[in-house]
Amino acid sequence: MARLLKELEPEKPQLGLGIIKLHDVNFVILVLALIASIVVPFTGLAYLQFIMMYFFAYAIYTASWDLLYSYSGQLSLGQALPFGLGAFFTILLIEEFQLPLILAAVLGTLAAAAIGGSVGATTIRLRPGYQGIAILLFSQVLYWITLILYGEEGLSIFSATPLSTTTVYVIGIIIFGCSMLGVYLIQNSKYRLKLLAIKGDNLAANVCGINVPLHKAAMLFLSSLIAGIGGTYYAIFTSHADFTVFAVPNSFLPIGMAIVGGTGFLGGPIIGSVIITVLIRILPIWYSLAVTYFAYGIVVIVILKLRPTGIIGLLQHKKMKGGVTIAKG
Amino acid sequence: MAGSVLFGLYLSIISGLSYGLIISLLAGGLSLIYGVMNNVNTSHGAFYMLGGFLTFFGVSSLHLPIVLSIVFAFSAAFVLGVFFLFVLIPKQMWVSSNPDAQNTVMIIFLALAQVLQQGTFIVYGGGSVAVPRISFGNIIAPGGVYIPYQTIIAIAISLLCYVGLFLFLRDTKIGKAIRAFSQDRELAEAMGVRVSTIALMSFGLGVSLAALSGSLLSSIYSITAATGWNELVIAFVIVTFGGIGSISGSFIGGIVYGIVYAITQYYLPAYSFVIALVLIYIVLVNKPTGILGEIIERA
Repeated sequence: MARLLKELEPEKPQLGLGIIKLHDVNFVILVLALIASIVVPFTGLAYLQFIMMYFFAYAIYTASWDLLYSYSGQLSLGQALPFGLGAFFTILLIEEFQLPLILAAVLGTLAAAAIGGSVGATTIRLRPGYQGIAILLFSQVLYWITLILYGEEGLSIFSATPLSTTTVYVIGIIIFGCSMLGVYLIQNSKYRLKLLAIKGDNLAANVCGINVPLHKAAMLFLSSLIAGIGGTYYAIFTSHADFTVFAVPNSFLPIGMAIVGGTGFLGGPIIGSVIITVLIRILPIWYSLAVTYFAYGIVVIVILKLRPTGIIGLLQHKKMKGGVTIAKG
Repeated sequence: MAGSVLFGLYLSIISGLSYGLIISLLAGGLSLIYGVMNNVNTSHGAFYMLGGFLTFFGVSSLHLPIVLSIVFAFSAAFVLGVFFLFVLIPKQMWVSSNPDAQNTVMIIFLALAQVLQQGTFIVYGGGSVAVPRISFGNIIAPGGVYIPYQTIIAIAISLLCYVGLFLFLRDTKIGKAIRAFSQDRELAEAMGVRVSTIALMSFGLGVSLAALSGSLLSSIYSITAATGWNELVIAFVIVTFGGIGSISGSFIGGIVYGIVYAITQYYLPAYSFVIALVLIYIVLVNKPTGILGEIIERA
């Protein structure tokens, strides 16, 4: 609470555009990521470009999980639910209903947000741990339903003309930039204070006049929307969705990425996604996928045990005196 | 027609009872851990899977008789559980009511589950393991229903385990300490109960119950390295249904789940898991007080 009061003090004028602070390390990381993604196609490394597409999808996915976890204290162990729904709906609308890609993507994302948010909203009264497993329960339900309905081969885009890699890549940069900027703006808006109050103490926040269930539900819808965007993009560049998108290792993916990068700041999901995406796309060249995920699990445990603030915590530490506000409640 | 429907119901109740009883051990372990440590063990499903594989390891590599392999799986899971808790989780988080600490513990356990699962996959591959049955043959119950001896033995072991657990919690010094601790932490500590011992014991016992459940079911159903996530969700559902921290609640919840699952499996096999979960979830959402009161935010 003391930290919140400190945040409410008028801030010293800083270099920036509104709530975007140009010297904020998170904003710098976002700009660097965007510059890197623009440079990559010119290097001529096709596989790196392919990895970058995974990175766009995973970074958005991770940011959506972190927004929910760090800003409203809701731990989702089934974030694959909105992610997978976005992917599945998009492919379904293109293949079965012959909709144009853009329309299918928009409708798919909205459907993911609506279903993911509604499912999440039924769980807001549960304690964080139980809420997490309740959402996991639904992603397991969808895992089975999609396995039964579409089999192990899942759904792929056959009929529509595939987009060129360059087009998909450019779409990726735009979606990545817009989503991340959106998350950044939320994380730096005054609305954040309400969310942090809810995270800090539900009861106290309620007494202060904050409608706790409403904001928790709003965050679930928002987080599902962002995860849905990630899932939709994932479906567009892979042209495929199957039951494994709802599997638990896929739900664990954003959690681990956020832990490695650091939770609570936008820079964390970006750094975490870069490291883990490269790890899980490069290691399988030499070792099996099982070894890769085994190593991934160990990395997450080690980071959580030795440096719970993640990599962004190291960068943030130096900047802390400069007036960067801390998100941890 | 009516006869066959009734016969299906009869069959389902018998198979549901046995499955529910065995799976309730898994839920009982989760419940015990939560009751004492206030932490949700997200690696519970992985220990269930490990139970099956440890039994297989006992039979195939150590050449133990099957009964001893089950005992081996139970004890090995206990040792592994204690070891992982000791090494992975900071001591101040073992028993905690701080949501941040609880979330951290859940994430570490989730990562552990992934490591155990992928580790098993690396060693044994993706196929299912064949654990031999303790005994072959069937008995014929009234109405012409065949019940394998294996199922009856598994039920007997589960019931024995419940009796053992009951006696352990009622009569032994550590059992009494566990009960005292889950009723009133501060008072128990003031009376000289050591938090770390209680946490280690109950975690070890909880995961070994999960392993026993996996070990018993591995000869009836197949277990692969990817098994465990459904079971975690099932255990959670049973625990929520029966009341958190209560072993008898898990016992009843397990049997109810088993029967609901078996009935849906008889009439709509493809969607049995989905229907059973959704039905129980509807109960969970609509009746958040009463037996489920414990898990609701007190705000």
